[in-house]
Amino acid sequence: MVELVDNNGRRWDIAYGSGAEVSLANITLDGEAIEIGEVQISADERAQRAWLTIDGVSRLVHCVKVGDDWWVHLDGVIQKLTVSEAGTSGVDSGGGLTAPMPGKVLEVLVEEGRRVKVGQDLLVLEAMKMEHRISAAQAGLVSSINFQAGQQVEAGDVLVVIESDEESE
Amino acid sequence: MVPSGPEWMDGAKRPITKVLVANRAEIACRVFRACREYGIASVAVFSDADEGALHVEMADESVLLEGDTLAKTYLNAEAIIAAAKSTDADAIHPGYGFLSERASFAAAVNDAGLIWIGPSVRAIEEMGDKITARRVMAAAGVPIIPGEEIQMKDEHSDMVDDLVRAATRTGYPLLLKASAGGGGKGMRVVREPRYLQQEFEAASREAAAAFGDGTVYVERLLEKSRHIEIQILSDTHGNAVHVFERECSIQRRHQKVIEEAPSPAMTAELREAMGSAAIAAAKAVDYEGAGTVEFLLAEDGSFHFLEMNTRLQVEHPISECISGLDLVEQQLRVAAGFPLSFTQDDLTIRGHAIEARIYAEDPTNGFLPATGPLAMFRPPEGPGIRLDTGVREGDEASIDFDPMLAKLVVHAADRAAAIRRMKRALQDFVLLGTTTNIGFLADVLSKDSFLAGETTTDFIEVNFPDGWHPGCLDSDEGEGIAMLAALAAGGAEHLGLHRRSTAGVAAEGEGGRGSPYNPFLLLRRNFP
Repeated sequence: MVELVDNNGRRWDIAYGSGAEVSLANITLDGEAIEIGEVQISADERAQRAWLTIDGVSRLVHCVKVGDDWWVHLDGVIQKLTVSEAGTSGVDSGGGLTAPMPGKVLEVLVEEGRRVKVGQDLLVLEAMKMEHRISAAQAGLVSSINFQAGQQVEAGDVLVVIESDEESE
Repeated sequence: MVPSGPEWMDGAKRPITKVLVANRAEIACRVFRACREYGIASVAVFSDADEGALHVEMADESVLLEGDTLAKTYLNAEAIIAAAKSTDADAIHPGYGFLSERASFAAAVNDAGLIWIGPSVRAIEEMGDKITARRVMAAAGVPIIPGEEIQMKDEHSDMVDDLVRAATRTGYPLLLKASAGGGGKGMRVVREPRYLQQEFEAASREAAAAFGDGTVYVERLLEKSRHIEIQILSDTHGNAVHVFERECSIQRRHQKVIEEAPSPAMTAELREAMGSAAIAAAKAVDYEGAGTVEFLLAEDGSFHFLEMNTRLQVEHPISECISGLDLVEQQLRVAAGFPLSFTQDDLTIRGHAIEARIYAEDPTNGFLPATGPLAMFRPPEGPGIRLDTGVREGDEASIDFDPMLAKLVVHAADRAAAIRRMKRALQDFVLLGTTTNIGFLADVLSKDSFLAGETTTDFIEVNFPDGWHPGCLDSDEGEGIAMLAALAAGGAEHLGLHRRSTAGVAAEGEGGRGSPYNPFLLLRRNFP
C-alpha cells in the first residue's frame, strides 16, 4: 500500500500487485474507492522514467523523488505527491504555520493567546529582498509564537501555532 | 599577448576585444553567446555561491569575487573593475539589475579607461531617479502620470505629513514608489487613506534594504491600463530608432511574468506616437545604446511615461524575434563607436513573439519564492522556441539570488500561433524537484481573455480571483491527470524507482543538496 497526498491536499491510497511490471489492485481518493480499468506501471530503462499503461494505452511519465516528494510530469502537467507514513494523516493538521522559505522575521503582528481570523496578518517575513505578509490559513487561538523580530528562519520552520476553532469545538 | 579583435571591429573608434560581464545567470550567458558569435573574448565574475555555475563555464575566463554578501561580490564595483584589469578586458557589460543602473559604476568604469557598454553617466543619473526622469520627460513633451515627489527630510514624522497631503492631492487609489526602486521592490498600491502609513513604511524599508535610499514618490494608479514599453537603440552619432513595443501587462507582485510583441492593443498610429515619444525621451538625455522607455497605456488610449530603463531589459528576446536584430550585438557596435547600420524605415515586424518567465515560486501561495534542487530540467524544443537560462539539471534554486530560472520565448507567424506554441512548450517543459510557476503560466495562456488580447495589469487578480491551484481551469481534466499522477507516483514508489535513479538525485534526498561541490551533482550536469 502506498499513501500519497497531492498538491491539493487530497489523499490517495493505492495497492499494487507484485513484480517488475506492477498492476493496480485498488485505489481510493480520500477514502472512497475509484473504478478504473486495467493499470500497469513499469520502469523505463532510462532513469527517472516510467510507463503508465491503462487499458493497453501507454504514456511516458517523468518522475523524480526528492525527500518524501514524488515529482511527476505527465500529459504536460507537473505534479508533486508526498509519500505519507501509514496511519498518519499526511497533511499538517496541527495548525502550525511554517515558513514558506528561508528569511528574516521583520515584525510579529500578533500575540500569544490572541484569537485570529482567517487571512489575518500574523507576521512580516523578509526574503529575497521582498517583504511578505504571512497570514492565518485558519481561525483560532494563537497558542505559540516561535520567533521574534530580527530572527532568521529556515524553510519549514514552524513560525506560529494556531489552535483551530474547529478542533476545539 | 595583446588580444586581437574581430575583423568587423576594424576602424572602430573604441575597439572591443574582450568583454567582462558584471552579472550572473541567464543574462551573463546571453552576453557570452553574443561575444562568441561576434569574435570577442569574454570574462565572467562569480561569487562562491556560483562556483561551477553555467555562466562561469560559458565564459573564456572567470574571476572569483571573494566575499559572502552581494556588496562584496556582484555589487563590488572596485573588485569587478580590478577583475577586468587583471584579465585585460577592455569593456564591461553590466547586464540588468546589480550595477547596471548605477551611474557611479559607469563613471568608475570610464575612469579606469574601460569601455562601458551602456549609456552615458548623465543619462543613467537622470533616468535612474524617477523624480528627475519625470521632470526631464515633461520638459521633452512626453506625457507623464499625475503624481508628486516627497522630499526626504530629517524628521520621519514630517515626511508622513507631507505624504498624506500629497496623497490627498494625487487621489486614491494610488501607487507608492521608492524613487530608487525597481523590479517591484519598494512599490505598494494604496486604495484607502487608512493604509497609507503602513504601506509607506513597508515601501521605504524595502527600498532602503534593496537600494540604500528611502525616498518615495506618489502617483495616481491608472486602473485597467496596459504596460507597454518601447525598445530604443541610439548610437553616438545622433541616430535613434525604436524597435517597436513590448506589452508586459501580465504581472504578479508588480513583476512581469508574460510579455509579448507586438501588443494586441497597438495600432499603426499609436505605435508611431509612442515610438516618437520614446525617441524624444532618448534624445532628451543623449541616450547611447539599447534602452527601454516604459509607458502605461490607459483605457482611453492615452499613454503616460513610467520610467526609462537604461540597460538591456529581461524581456529583450521578444523584440529580437520580431525585428531580427541581436540587441547585444547592437550594444557592442554602439559602444565601439559605430553608427547604426539601419534606419527606422529598414525595421519591420515579423510575426509574433511571447516570453514566459519561469520562476521558482509557488503560485498557489502568493507566488512566494520556492527553493529546491532542479532534479530534472528538460526544456522544450522545436521550431520557434528559444530558452535563455543560467541553470541546468543538477543545479539548485537557492535563496541567494533572484528566483527566475529561465525565460521561455516563442516566435510564430501570428499571435494565435504563438500562444499555441507557448502552451505546447510549457507543457513539454520537464522541470522537477522545485515548485515553479509553469502550470500557472499555461493556465494564463489558456484564458479566453488572454486569447482575446484583454491584457491589463490587473489580469491575474481579475482572472484568478480565488488564486490559482493545479487543475483550477478545467476540473474534469484536472481530476483525471491528478489520478494518473497518483498512480504513477505510487507505482514508482512501489517499484523503488528512486533507489534505481542516478547518484545525483539520490544525493539530493540524503542531504547532499545545496552543495555545488558535490561530485555526484557535478556528474549529473549537462555541459553545454
